[in-house]
Amino acid sequence: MDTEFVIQTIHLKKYFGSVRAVEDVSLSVKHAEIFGFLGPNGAGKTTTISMILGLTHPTSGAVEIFGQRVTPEQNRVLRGVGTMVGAPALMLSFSARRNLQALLYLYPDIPPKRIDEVLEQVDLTSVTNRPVHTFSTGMKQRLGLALALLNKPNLLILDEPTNGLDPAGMQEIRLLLHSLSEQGITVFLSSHLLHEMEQVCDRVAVVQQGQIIAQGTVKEMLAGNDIIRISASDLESISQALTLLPGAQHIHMKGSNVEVQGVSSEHVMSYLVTQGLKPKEVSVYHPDLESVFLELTHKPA
Amino acid sequence: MFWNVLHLESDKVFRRLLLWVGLVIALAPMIIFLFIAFNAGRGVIPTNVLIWPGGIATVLAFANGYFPGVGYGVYLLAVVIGMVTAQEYSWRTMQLWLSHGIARPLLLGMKFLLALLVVMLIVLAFFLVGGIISIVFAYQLQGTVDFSHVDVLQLLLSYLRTVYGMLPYAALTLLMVVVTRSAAAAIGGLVLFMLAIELPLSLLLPLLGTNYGRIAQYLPAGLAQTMNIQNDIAAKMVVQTLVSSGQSSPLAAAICIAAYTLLFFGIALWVFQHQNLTN
Repeated sequence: MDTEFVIQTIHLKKYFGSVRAVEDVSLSVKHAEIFGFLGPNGAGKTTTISMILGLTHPTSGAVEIFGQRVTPEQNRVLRGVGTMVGAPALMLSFSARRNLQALLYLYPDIPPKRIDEVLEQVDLTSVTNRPVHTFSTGMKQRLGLALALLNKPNLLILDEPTNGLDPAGMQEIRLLLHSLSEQGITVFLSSHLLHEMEQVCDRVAVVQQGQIIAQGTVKEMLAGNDIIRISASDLESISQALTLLPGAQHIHMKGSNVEVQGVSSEHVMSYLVTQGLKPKEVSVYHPDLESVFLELTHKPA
Repeated sequence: MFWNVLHLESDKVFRRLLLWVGLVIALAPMIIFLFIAFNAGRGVIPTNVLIWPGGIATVLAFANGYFPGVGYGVYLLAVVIGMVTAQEYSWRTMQLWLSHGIARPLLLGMKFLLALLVVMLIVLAFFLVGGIISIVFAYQLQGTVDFSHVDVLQLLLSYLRTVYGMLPYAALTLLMVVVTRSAAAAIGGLVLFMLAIELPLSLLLPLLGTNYGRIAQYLPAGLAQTMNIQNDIAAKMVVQTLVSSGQSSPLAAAICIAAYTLLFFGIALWVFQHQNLTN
């Protein structure tokens, strides 16, 4: 496998009896990029992340992190990784500080003051000695993030990192992830908050029913999906004319408009004029990642 | 990594009130028994099993069970190990440690090592508290306490024999909690094993004959009894057993204790190695 990539999975599969949780996931994450892993509930995201972290045996396929194979038996390379999978793993009877102290035992080279640094980074300095079971969901999420950052990882693997956070908290996480990426730290994260992912991620992969159905940069995912909306008095004629326009796709009437994809607005206008048709208005709708995601995941995999 | 993980595991166990409060509760039956027995007079229980130095063998037997089902130290061990380990599953911190590069065998091995340290602490507590009480009784009865003829090596061996006799229960508790991921199931399972399997078999098998009685000797409780009898011999006390069919030889008991421990821990390790920790 290629050592250029920080994470690589090759034909990763996980079956639980007859249930095919992960059918065939092959992805690669480059150094210092923020990679988004998107999918509806039950698509196989958490199972895939669990296999990447050696928490479960793949049925077949392989995982490499920093060029080294990762399995439940071989996981030493994970010492350079910070993780938060699912709900944060916290010792609820203990304080935030003690949770961090416990993890720090595994990293004797990291000074104790690192605990205060990460608590400040996630804005939990005022509650360091409170038992974690008294924390709100958002506070637990922040502490989980602090645990992930404690060992100064080169790779962060985060599953729903903004879960339970208010908009201000989400923005802080977004800024934090960007600054980490600028420091050369690779971030692999899954989330349902597609608007957030669009602002944060460099590249994304969309998974459905255990298979990756789309993968690329955010720009690539959004490109070619612009929708041209044409309003006119004679929608039927416009619609029929567009079927003869080379490159025009997904032509359909929606309300008082005709929508078409695959061609530019200038091309549509000039074509309709040559056909003797006069649209009232031609507008361009730029879909966001959520729209693209919904369109992708509503198609059969 | 070994010392780092050991430090982590010991912090989870020894900095918790559960262990220390549990010790007080587990010692209570022994303390109550000793005072009642001592005050009941010589005709009820021979005083040499209560006062120094013979009393040491008696108090150690309270830790690992002089009779099946009477091992208060074993119950405490099950509660502490069961709860601390099961919480790692419910809190998902097992996943946290593994995702930071700790190998599964190392993590479970450390948990067993911590269980051993807990056993040693429990037995030490029984040893010290019971020992002090036996010294007080000796002074009360005789007006003096004889330390000059105390065989320190035998005392140490008695302590180690008692610890050793509890190892199968430590491994069995760990196995149950790994399989069930539940403190209640692990603790309940061990109590059930002791009271519903070991105790009835220890009582009933000898009634069926010598050969059947020998089977009871090789249950973990029977093996622990063999260790206790060696403690009695070391304390030069009259050996009294409630099981009339005799005990296994010390060497056979030691081998069987090791075999049980390795078997239970080996199965726990195999299960843990193959466990899906996605959720």
